[in-house]
Amino acid sequence: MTLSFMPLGCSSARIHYHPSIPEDRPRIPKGTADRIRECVDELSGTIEPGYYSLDAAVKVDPDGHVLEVETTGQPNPDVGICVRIALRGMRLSGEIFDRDVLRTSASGSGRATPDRGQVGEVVTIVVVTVVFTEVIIEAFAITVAVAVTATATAGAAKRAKREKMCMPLLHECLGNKNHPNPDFGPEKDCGACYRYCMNEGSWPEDKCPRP
Amino acid sequence: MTTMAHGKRLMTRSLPKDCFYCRDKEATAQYVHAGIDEAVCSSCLKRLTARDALEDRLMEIVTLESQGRYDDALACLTAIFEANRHLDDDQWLERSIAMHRCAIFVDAGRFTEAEQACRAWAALGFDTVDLRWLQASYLAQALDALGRSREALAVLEEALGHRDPRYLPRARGLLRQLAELSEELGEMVAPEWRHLAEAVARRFRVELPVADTLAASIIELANATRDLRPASLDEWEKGEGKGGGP
Repeated sequence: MTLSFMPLGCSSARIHYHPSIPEDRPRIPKGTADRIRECVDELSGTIEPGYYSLDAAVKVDPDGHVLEVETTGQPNPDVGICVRIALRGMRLSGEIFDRDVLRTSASGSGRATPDRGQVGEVVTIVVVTVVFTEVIIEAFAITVAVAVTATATAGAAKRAKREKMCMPLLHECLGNKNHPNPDFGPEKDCGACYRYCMNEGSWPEDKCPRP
Repeated sequence: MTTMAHGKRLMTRSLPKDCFYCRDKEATAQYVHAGIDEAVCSSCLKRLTARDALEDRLMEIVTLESQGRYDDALACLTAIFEANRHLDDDQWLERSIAMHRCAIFVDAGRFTEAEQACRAWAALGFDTVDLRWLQASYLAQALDALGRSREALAVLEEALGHRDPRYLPRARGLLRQLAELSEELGEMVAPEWRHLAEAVARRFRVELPVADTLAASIIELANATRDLRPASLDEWEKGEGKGGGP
């Protein structure tokens, strides 16, 4: 039996990032990168020396929570499980989907292949994908390059951004419903103003002026 | 003396003045809620109580939506309507709930149900033209997602045929949707919409941008004016010559 001892807070695996193009390509959160490094570190005894390209595809909800993770190219199944667990705990900022680095899943119109929703209903889903800078983990003669892509439906990403803007304005409107301009009636229709805000991305100041 | 009715504080002393809301009937009670403190008639008090029943729970409903709990949000709307329909003489509550249902189904990506809900909203009528435009926008999104883009275009064009200068700035979004859908279909935006686009531009104190197509001009206008505040109705009418706008 072989026992290895490691000073607390110390790791034999090193982590660095592949120089990315474009240069402002985002990085996965540091905590997640550290957990992936720990996977390689803790399971290094099970990994054959060599270079591995591990691709991870994560699906994200509008709040940036990871819903699903798939990996390919892992050195062995245990590393794959460990990396998927690490990525499952990742939390992304909603703003990540606003950055220029996002891509649609298809060029041109940005429309993905039509997907089937309910029976008999063809629904076109537009997907945005964020490609993160490759994380490279090196442990002795082992190198694991982890490429992570996150996808969310474009609608979901846009909706999350608008909710962040429109919900506080709805709350403010409901707290002061008196309309100062008689052209628009005595009372603000805050519900309609919220729907307008969510649909258009701006608050209708004339219909629901802010106090 | 103060009593309570429909959860509102009512001042039952004599109030010899017109209702603040309808300006028609004599005020019989004091309505105090969410920054408003006005004398109202009994009909308006009923209507306002129905309205408050929905608005007091709107934050809860939109929070449910943001969590993806669309069916819970819809159930909440149904419960509010069932509990307050006896107050809904002018159908404001029913129309508002129909609006929220239409929006929720579109946001949930449940487009077949969205089409039904949006059409149900239209069947109840609209208080103002901007609500008609909002309904058309949602319905067109649903139809487009269902692969019925030409129908969606017709919905937008029909809605834009209804005008009210008070809400002119809000035609911008619908024009943009019309332009994008026309481009998607490989069709030209009908020249009849240029006049409306120019009027919208003037309301935002800009010129309609020059571009290769009317669709491109409209999309550029929407982008260029995104953060601009429109002129007030009075200011705009002075510039246009009152009554001369769309």
